Order: sequence, then structure tokens, then C-alpha cells
Amino acid sequence: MRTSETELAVEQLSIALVGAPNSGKTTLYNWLTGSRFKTVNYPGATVEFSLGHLASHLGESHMMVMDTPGTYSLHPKSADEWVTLKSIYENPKVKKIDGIIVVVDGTQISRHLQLVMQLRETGFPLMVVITMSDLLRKEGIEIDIPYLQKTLGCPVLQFDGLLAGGLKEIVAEAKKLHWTKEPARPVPWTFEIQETKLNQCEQIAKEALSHKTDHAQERLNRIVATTEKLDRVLLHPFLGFALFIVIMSALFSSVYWLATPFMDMIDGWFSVANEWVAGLGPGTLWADFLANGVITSFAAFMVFVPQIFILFLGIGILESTGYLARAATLIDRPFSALGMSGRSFVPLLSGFACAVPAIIATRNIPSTKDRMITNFVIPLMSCSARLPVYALCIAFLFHGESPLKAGLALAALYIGSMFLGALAAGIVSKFIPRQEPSLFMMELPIYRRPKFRVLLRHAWTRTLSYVKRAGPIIFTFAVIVWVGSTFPNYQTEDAHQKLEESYVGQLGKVIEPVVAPMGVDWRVGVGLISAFAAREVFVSSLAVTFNITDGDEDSQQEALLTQMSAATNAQGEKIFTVSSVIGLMVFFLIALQCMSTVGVQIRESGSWKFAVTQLVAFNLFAYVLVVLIVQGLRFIGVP
Amino acid sequence: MNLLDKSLKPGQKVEITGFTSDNVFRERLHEMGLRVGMLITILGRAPFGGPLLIRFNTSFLALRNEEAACARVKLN
Repeated sequence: MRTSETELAVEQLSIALVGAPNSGKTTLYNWLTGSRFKTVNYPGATVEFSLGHLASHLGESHMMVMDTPGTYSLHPKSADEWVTLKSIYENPKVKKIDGIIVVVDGTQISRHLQLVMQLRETGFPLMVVITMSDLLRKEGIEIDIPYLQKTLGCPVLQFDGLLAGGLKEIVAEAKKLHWTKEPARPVPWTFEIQETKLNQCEQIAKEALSHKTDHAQERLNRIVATTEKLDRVLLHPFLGFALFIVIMSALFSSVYWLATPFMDMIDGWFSVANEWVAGLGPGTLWADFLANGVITSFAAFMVFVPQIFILFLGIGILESTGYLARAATLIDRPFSALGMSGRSFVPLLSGFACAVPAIIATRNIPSTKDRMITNFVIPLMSCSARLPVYALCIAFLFHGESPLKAGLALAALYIGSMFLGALAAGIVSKFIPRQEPSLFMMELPIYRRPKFRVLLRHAWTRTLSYVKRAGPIIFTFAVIVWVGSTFPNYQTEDAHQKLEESYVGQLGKVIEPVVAPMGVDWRVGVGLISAFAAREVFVSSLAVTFNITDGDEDSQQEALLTQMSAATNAQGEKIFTVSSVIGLMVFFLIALQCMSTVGVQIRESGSWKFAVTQLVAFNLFAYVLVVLIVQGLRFIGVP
Repeated sequence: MNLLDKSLKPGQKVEITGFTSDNVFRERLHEMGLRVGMLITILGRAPFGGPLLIRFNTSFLALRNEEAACARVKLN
């Protein structure tokens, strides 16, 4: 009651940040709101933007700050740019936008002033913030701020993204922004006006730079000199492409190599915890539940956190150094042959971390067709939730052999997922008509040294939010699977018999005819069903159904692997064989077992048909292919 | 000639003399900051006949063939 009254009493001020991609908008947003990472808002509306309260150390927070997707103009050419336009004119969350902070890259003033001019015509209360001050300062470039204020007719402030210099002043100015008249809709400029405006912008930028700085252009050139030199190598038609392959391979192999010692460590901790809890009440139901239901499930999942962290970190490094835009350029031609564009590369790469943000990231692809195809194939990219399953299967296949083989197998899976993605894109592109020209035109930001602390923090928060999201699902399913596999005959001594007579066993028997052609038995079938809640659940579900308590092995994973290699079906045949494990990996490679992906897909594509087609097509194809592979392998004598 | 002209080599500077088409490509070129009279440095091309790489002032841009073909240029 009281809070709503206070909210009514105090007028909320809503300030939007608008600017070109890479202008430093999000850095400013993070400093203003104090949020440590890019927050993605999921309102019911189709418009999406980040909304945050002013950080508490910046004064009383009657101010809401909104981050919008980067845009070059108010005449949208991609879904992202539409979001920016809509979020300032018809915002579903904020009554009205009281003012706009236009973020201008200090090294690109003339280009970015265009947007300032467009916004000025609409009549929104404006304020300009010039970023990249640290780069300018290093080269001794000083901008004539009073001149800019006078010429643009609005407050102009500088901001240093590294040290947050100027933040307090920005807040103070922003609080003064208010409407004097209703803002109008942007009017498109004709060719002649556009040319004149560009000329004006250049003149203004030139004046602002030359008033206080000698040889301003030469100094600016020095800022980009390194980038030009590096690009001669990194964008070289042959060398650049070779390096691209090296960099991508390094990313994916480091996910495996770097993570192993940490994984062993975490695995060790959980085994200790498991033994300790089991020892507290031997033979009791609650100790069994805690040790073999809860701890086992979490152990099976948490072990993969290092790999997920390294994957997020790697993508973060590529993104923040400025290499990702280059990678997109290098790959544009091959991608366009598949009906996509180089712009699809970034979403597809993020798809290796998680399909949900990746699907949202396709919005900066201007062409609808390119975007649809990219959305269609993203779920084929092996997201981090599949890693646990791959890792377990690979560990099973190459147990005790050299890690090189395991690394190669993992690489093969990743390459396989890319190959399947390419194949699917090639096929789908034949069925989607092209309505508008496909735009690529991409700005290549200058190379910057990443701030490792920021990168680590980003990777950590993303990993953590991933764990937090998966955690409750894992816990719930762990409980369900444990209860289902323990009751009703929990007193039965024989573990195998107990499981077979359990609820899970009964359900498993029903679905066994379906999964049997895949070379697996009902217990794996139960795992496959629970994997539809979240793929990671598969491993923990196996861990529970293959009851790994009895072993006195030194680690959880060791114990699970031993149980797996010993497990037999009703006919006494081994369940986990080379062929069935390969089949499982292929199934996880293709099948769409992720409810969040389907949900996002429905929302982003705006059509049930698209999402359902995808769901059915992927799972049916995966199933048929796995059956063919497993039966084929068995036919030629592979166990 | 346009930006795609085969005689243009990496390192050469050209001046924009106009735009051939009246569509979304030209609009985007404008939004990226390219205008008549502007000087552009040709940097090279991405592999497999991929995008053309150019520089103007402190900006680096990658343009596909059909996008680059919109800009009429002359050697500076």
C-alpha cells in the first residue's frame, strides 16, 4: 500500500539511452544502473529493452534508465532498430520517456551526430554524452564542449567508460530534462537533405575537434592505426581465414582442455559430500534422498560449470576485443551461400552457449529471411546444456585413453553440429521466399584490449544465472526421479528389482518400445523424457536411476561410468555400448529438447507454426537418424 | 566507376561522386556516414569474394558487392 502511494507521489523520471552500435551505450547504462551485466528484459510485449533504476550511490533513484539496441537512424532497417524506435515512442513499461541521452562515440563524432540531428527534429528533450574519452585523452585530443552545446542546443557531457568519470554530472543534467512539447514522429530526410546534414555534421565535428586540438585528424588516425595494421593480417583473404579457423578451434578446444582440472576438483568435492551425508544415516530414507537424490543430481550437473564458464568467457573475449565483427565479415560469403549472412555468425556462435539469447540476438539481422533461417538452425548449435551429456558419453567411450581422443571427439561433435546447421540452412532457404534485399553493411569497431576483470565478471554472472535457472529444474526432477525410482517398494533389497518395480520403472516400460530401437532401455528412456525439461537433467537422471551409491569409487563420475558399463537390460545385454552411446550423442546433437527455446521461438517469430514445425522436424529427424545409426553400426558388427 | 571496380587496389583512395540506386542500400550508406565528396580508402576484400573493406575518417566498414556497387567513385 505504502509503496504504491510513494510511487504516485514522486514523479518517476524515465531517461532513454540511444546511440549507434558500439558507441558505449551499454557501458554507460551499466555504470548508471550499477547492474553488472546486460540485463535482458522479457516483458510480454514484442518490444524488448533493458530498464534499470539509477544506482543508489548516484542519489535518490526517482530515475529509470533504459538501454535500447544500437541504431544508426530513426528509420529502422532491422528488428533491433524497430525496438529502439518503439521503446522511445510507445513504451509498454514506461508512461513516457522524459528525455533521451544520445550516446556519441568521441572517435566517430561526425557520423554519430546524424542521429543527434534526427532526434533533435523530433523535439525530445536531449542530452549528448561523448564516450571513449579515455582513447581521446591518450592521444591528447580535447573536444570543445561549449561549442558543441551551443551548436546542438542541448547539454553535452563527456564520459569515461573505464573510470566512470563524468557520471555524476550526467545524472545531474539528465534530471533537468523535461518535455516542452509533444515529441513528433521522425520525418525521413530526402537525398539532398541527408547530404546537407552529413556535411553539417562533419563541419561541426571538425570545429569541435580543431578548436582545442592541433592536428586533430592526425591524432584520431593514430587511434585507429593499430586496428588498420591488425586488420591487414586478421582480415587477409587467406591468412585471415586461416587465423579465423585457428581462433575458433582454440575457443572450442579450450572449453575441454582448460576445464578438466576444475571439473575433477568439483567432482571430488561432491563425492566427499555424498559419502559424508550417506554416512550420517546409513540405510535411512532421508540420507538416501539427500545423498543419492539431491547431491548426486547436482554433482552430475555442477561438474560442467567450468566448461560453461570458459565458453562464455571465450565468446566475451571475442566480442569485447572487436574480433567478432571481423569474424562475421570473414564468414559472410560462405554464409550467404546458405541463405544467411555474416551477421548470423554472432547469434549462431552464442547458440553454443545457449539458444535463448542467441535467438534474441538475431534481431540485428535486417532481412526477415536471413533472420528466419538463422533462428531455425540455432537450436542445432550445441548449447552448453548438451556439454554434460557429450562429456559423459565421451568419457564412457574413451575411458582411460588419451585425452587427445576425447578432445577430438568433442571437436567432431561441434563440427558436426555446424555441418548439420549448414545443411539445414541450405534446405530451409529453398522454402522461404525473399521479400527484401539482404543487408550486410557492417561497421568494424576498433580493436580494444578487453578489461579482464569485466570479462570475468560477465562470464561469471552469465554462468551463475545459467546455474540458477537450471538449478531449480534439476532439483525438482531429481526429487521426482528419486521418488519415482525409490517408491513404492522402497524396502526391496535388490537395487535392480527395486528400480524395475518403481513408478519410473513402470513408466519406462511403457515407453521402452519407442526407445528400444535406439539401442537403449527404459531407464535411458526416462532420462530422455526428463531431458525435455532441461538437457542437463539427463545426466543427473541417469545418475539417480543407475543408482551409484554402492560403489566405493573415488569420484561420482567414475562411479557412474562403472555402473554404466556394467548395466544390462532385461535380456542381459549391455545397454551402454559403443553404438548406443554414439546414438545418444547424435540424438542430443539434433533433437530439440528445450522448452525455453520453443517459447522464445514462438515469441520471436510470432508464429506457433514455425516453432512447432521446428520442434517436430528436429526430434523426428533425430530419432530416425539415431535408429538408423545404431542399427547400422550393430549390423556391421560394432557392439 | 563504382567501388567494386576491378582496377581499384587496396591502399587506393577514391572520392564518392554519387549513388546509383535509390533504395535501402543508399539510405544505409548515408546512415553509415558516406556522402558525395567523401574520401574512402580501399582496404581489401574478405575471403571467397566476400565483403569489401573500406575506411573513411576513423571508421571501418565491410560492404557486400551489391552494397558497394551503389557508390559511384573516382580515383583521387
